[in-house]
Amino acid sequence: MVSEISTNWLKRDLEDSIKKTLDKFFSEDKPESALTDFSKQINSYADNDHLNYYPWSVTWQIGSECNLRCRHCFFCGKEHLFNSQNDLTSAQAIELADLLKDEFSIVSITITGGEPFLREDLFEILKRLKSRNIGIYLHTNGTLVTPQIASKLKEILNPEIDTVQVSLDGASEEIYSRIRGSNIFDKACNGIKNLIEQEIPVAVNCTPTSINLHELPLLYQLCCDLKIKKFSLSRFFTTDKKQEYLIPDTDNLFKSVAEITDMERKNPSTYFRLNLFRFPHLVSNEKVRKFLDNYIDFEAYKDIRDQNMHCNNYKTIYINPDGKIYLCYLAKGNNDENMPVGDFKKESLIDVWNNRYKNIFFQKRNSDKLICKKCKYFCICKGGCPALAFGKYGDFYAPDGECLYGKELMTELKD
Amino acid sequence: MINRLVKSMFSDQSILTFSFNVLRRYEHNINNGTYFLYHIKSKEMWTGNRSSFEMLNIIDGKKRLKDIYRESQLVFSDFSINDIKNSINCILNELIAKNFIIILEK
Repeated sequence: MVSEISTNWLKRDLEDSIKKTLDKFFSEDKPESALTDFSKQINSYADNDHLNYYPWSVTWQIGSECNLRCRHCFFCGKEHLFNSQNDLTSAQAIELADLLKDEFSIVSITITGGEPFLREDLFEILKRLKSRNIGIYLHTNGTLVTPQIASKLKEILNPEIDTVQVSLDGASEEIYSRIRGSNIFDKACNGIKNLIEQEIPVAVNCTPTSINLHELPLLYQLCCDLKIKKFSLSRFFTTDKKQEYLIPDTDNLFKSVAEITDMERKNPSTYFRLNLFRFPHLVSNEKVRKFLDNYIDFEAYKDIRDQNMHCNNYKTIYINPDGKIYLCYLAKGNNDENMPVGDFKKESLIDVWNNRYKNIFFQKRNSDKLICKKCKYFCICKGGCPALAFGKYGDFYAPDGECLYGKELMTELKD
Repeated sequence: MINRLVKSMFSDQSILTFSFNVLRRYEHNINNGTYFLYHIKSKEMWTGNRSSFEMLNIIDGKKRLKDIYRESQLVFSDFSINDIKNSINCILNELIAKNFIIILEK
């Protein structure tokens, strides 16, 4: 069985795999959560241009420290980024948690790191947030989740809306340890088992790289065996030239996605979430473009309005371990000084939020000025991510930084 | 009718808390301020105005109802204590009946 899963998917037909991936990408089979339903119901009371007075959700990178040094990490090779010296103190972090729940009335929060369980005040922060039943999505590598930790979490979390997401980048000790370090695969798996034992909903996320690509279907099978509720694949971002050898082969990625999609039909209780591609990636691939038009109802996208620069309509903010606040993770850019909306250590949270209008990201992007507005697919991606455009070209009106199709277009225009 | 129901459900000494299955959100920009409560299990939504938000915000699972009346009086100083009590009891009555709010101590 294991050897079949390991090798069969490689023999898949590429075109069929691309079609299956597109089916998955364009299908709306995401299970609806209570948080989504709540948001939809509130939006039904508001008009289309409704802007939340305060953010709906927050992503909080709660600490810089990590017990692992993964090859594909944003911080890989930059040891100073793991230094927690400038992180918010316990008193500051608890004050921030209280403000997020009491003043901002946020509904959900993603807590990430570093490794969040290295913060001694994590449970106090979680307790504060749960006193208002804020939905928590907690990212961890799972290696520190002992039975005692899992039991403490059970007392705090609400299984109806909270999830612990464990990063698992291989289905075997050999592959996992090549990415994350040795002798910890069992620790991560035991962490997952400890959480499941306490009936805490667990999601597993994997970042496909050249190292683990061949194990992705096996990893999905492992998640099914462990009764994981959600398995997701996230995109690998290179933050350093030295990481480029980790970029996975795209054809094989399509094949593995197609294989997992087929496996999901037999194991519907483990939902497969495809975070792997954004539309600009698909457009960038010539082999995909052959089929892409079959999935798009161009008529339905005729009305192109100016888009807010923030894809979540300013509903979220991103908080760094040192208290700097950004409109989103991608808007962090290369630590450009214009990017933070504010600094919790220097200003009140309310002031930071109220001053966000001054941030270069807080504006509408005029569709007419966009370089790639003549692209056939512009109606779908609307120019893609302004943060990635700014990050790569220093221009909000440039094509999405990850869209090779847009880049070609830009080169043509220059010529 | 409401007062009779109220009497049977809670007293001045009661300690109340929100159910663990309730999501809360106050939206300043919707209808001059709307407080949304959503029950995860029943998927039922309850909406209230800014005053109900101010009042319900005082509930913390520790304070007795008499303290909630007193604190509300500081916020709504233009109203008599009886008016405040009646409004609070009316809202609580509905939210307790719908399992949005739980009585910890009667």
